[in-house]
Amino acid sequence: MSTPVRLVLIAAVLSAPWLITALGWRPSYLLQIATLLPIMMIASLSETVIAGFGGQISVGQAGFMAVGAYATALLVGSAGWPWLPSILGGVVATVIVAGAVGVPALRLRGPYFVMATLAFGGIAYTVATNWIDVTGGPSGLRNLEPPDFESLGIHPDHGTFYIVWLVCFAAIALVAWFRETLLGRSLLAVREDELAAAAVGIHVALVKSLSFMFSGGLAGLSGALLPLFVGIVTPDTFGTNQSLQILAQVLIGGMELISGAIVGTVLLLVVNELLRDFAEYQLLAFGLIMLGVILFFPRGVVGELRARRAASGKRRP
Amino acid sequence: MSAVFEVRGLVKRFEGLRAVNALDLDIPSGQITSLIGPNGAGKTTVFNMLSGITRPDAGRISLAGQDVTGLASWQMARAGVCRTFQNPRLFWNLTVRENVAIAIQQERSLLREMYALFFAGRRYVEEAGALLALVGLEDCADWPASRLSYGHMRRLEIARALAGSAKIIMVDEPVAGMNPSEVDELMRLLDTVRQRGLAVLLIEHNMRLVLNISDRVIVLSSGTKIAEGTPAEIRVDPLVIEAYLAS
Ligand SMILES: Nc1ncnc2c1ncn2[C@@H]1O[C@H](COP(=O)(O)OP(=O)(O)OP(=O)(O)O)[C@@H](O)[C@H]1O
Ligand SMILES: [Mg+2]
Repeated sequence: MSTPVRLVLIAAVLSAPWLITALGWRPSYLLQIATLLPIMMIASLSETVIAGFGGQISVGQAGFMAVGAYATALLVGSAGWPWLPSILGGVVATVIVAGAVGVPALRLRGPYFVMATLAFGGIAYTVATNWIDVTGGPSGLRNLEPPDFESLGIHPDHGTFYIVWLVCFAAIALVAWFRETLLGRSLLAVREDELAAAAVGIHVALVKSLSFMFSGGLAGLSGALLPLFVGIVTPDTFGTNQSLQILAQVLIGGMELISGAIVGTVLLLVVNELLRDFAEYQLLAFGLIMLGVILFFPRGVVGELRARRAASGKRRP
Repeated sequence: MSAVFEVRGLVKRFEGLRAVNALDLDIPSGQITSLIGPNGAGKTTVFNMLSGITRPDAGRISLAGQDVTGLASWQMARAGVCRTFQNPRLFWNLTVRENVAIAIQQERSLLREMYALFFAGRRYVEEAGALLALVGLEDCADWPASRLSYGHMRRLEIARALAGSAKIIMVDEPVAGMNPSEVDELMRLLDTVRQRGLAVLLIEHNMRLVLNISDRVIVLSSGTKIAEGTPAEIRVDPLVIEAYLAS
């Protein structure tokens, strides 16, 4: 991303709450969408790491979001911790769970790995629904006190908005950094040729496990921000639908690119909101969009545009 | 001359076919040992076993006095047994420099390794520069590997194999598909590697070249060693002539 584009984006985010108020059209609804967006972007980035960089598609990312969300909510609600350490605690908990899931699951490849992540997502959902003593069951964990923005003179909704965007920008920078580390490069090599990677001395299992934990930690971070935003955690947020939504976001934007995750999340969120009033057609439209992307943008919207631009650049003398 | 790499009684069967049959090898440092034999003799299978990619059915492999039999492929590479492939297998989407940098990693403890994976990339990238200079690829260090010419791909594979702490480098038909000047350059590179004191094990079909560059030659036929000696001895060995005429 070029510097001017970045500056425009940052300016847009900074001024968004005022713009939304000035616009005067359903301001609280618009602000809600604008706050959900960065949280979903972080979830998409977690899929970019494991599926885009690592070549192992996960349909269980919502399970990691659940771990992050519940751990954070428990730390805030039951343990009475402040939000910041609670969110960090949620991320740490998710990284540990991702390690426990990843080490056995990453022995599997292709469809078998996909099945393992699907199973993990299902288990996480089931535990959240049924372990009533801890998770509150179907009605979830409620009455979480938001941080005290008002004493700082900030509207609570605006405060949350800025925090999640700040975390989102940090997550984008973190994933960009990860890609350039030895781990990120090794992961790309493993995706390309696992046998050759091992033959040159790369500890394939370690590279995959650490990357999976990094990806899980990002999903956990995304989940940990949800209770901050909505004040409650309920299991229905973390079903397989959510995992599929996350996968669709990166597929639409472009799996291997950070910008693909960002653009894909925006596109899918907009489509979802536009179709909200036509619930019976939502799945149909969703299917048509996916079909269109697969047919016309097999590398995702951003991936395809980039490839075309590179191709036309080459043709020019 | 003591052997850095000792192999005793190596066996590999594929559904009844004895691809490698009770093979003994002694590969000394600072020498080029060539492994030759007709197509299907079992040469690549030997490389696959020595590099930990295929598990031997029987036999013992030791490196500098240490038993390394049965180690996984990445452990073999870190112990110092490195290889190239019959068809180049580079990481095509990474740059030339990155291809080498990621092959340097060889921390001994898990914690150090995790630290290196996250924070020591720059050091490895710098080390990669020296290896690229050795094989003459420093000018294309930042190209994607896929843009290299065929001859340069071979050299990058050798640089990647030398990364880390290689004690023996095994090269599988490195000049196949090369033009004569590329062949000359590659031979000079193998000679440099030999002079650095590494053991080189070379699989090659081009007899003129094998007899030219090798210190010792081992001849394999149907998985069995049928001759071993200096190029001059191998040239006149009746068993070798027969094996090559028969195929
Ligand atoms: N994975 C495998 N499964 C079954 N048979 C195999 C396998 N790999 C090799 N073989 C067989 O083992 C024998 C030795 O093969 P190998 O590739 O080692 O020969 P080579 O000496 O490298 O031949 P070339 O000069 O053609 O490369 C051949 O008959 C081959 O068909
Ligand atoms: Mg072969």
